Amino acid sequence: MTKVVPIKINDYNFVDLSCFPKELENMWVHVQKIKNSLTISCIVSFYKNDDFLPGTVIESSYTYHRYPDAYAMYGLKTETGIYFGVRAYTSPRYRRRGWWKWLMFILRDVLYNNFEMMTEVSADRNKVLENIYKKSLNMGNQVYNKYFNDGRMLFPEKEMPRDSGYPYIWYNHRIGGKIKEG
Amino acid sequence: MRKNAHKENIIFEKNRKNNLISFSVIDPLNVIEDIEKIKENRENVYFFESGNKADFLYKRSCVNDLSFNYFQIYNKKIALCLNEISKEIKQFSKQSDTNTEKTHYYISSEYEEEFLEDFWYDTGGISSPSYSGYWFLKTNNKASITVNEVKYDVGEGSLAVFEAASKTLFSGIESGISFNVSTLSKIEGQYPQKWMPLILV
Repeated sequence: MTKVVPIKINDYNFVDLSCFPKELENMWVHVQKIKNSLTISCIVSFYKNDDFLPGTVIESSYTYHRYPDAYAMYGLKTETGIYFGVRAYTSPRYRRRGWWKWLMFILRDVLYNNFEMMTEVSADRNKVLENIYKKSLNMGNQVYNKYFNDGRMLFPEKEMPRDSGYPYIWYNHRIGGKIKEG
Repeated sequence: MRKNAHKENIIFEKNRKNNLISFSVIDPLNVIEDIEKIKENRENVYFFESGNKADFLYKRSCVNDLSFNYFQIYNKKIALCLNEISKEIKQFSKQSDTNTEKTHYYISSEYEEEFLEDFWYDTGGISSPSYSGYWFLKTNNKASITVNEVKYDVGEGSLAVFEAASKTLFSGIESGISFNVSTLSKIEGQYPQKWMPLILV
């Protein structure tokens, strides 16, 4: 298992990872900075394929040509300097694998230390995301920072919209959902 | 209070019509062979630093997936397929009252070697004027595609074109070219050259 050591950088909580998380297998990361959007600033896509070596992080102004296996999307910078997540998605093919607690570490570390973006999970998170968030905090020995949650927790949605945010769209042969047996 | 994601879902459901679909057949003669030849082809890269010999550095692919469009492969059947797609989109435009003089269509494509049968698929974009489709290159004897709950039998060379964001299931498909057709206003942020203009014929 990948070792996690809590650290502080500029008084903010981060973690040192012993390696790119083994739990994410052969995953690489595509960070798309969005300009001229009134709602989103950044889309971080995670791919489990051989297009790049595991642990590769691509910074780009473009949308990748394949639909991500997981992604997180961030809103515009707030007055407090924080970019809040506005959406998190995992392909139905890869759900229930415990990816997100590791993805959260990568997101927070890389976005701050490489791209100077201080991020936090969505303030409007649902119960699933809330539980993953708490697990990540426990692993990183960090204190639960309760940003106001203004609603979605009470209205959990089963599926996120498939497109990231018009006109930023992944056009591909993409998996929609698992076919129910019987 | 529900937020934007929820509203987007409502918009998505309201806008989807997903009733335009067409099928035709283009014999995929030598298409898989040509695709594999291009994908496997490597150039050797050397660097002459000093002495009497250039040192081998690495092998590089001649194809960049970020900008590669399979409809640009030099193959007559692929050219015919693109022509057929163009005809179908023109017909769909008439049926959906889309102004083809003001709408600038673009097309992108991928080579797919995985069609999972225990998951359903859809594609980017919402209904017309965004379209999707598959040109099936290798199938077994009982292959089918199910689009919005209607099952269609397909074989090698079957070309299916339908409105984007349709719920799609596959059975017995081994490989094919998937493609997306969308308009200029909807492809901002896509990698350069990945999409090429689709001229309606």
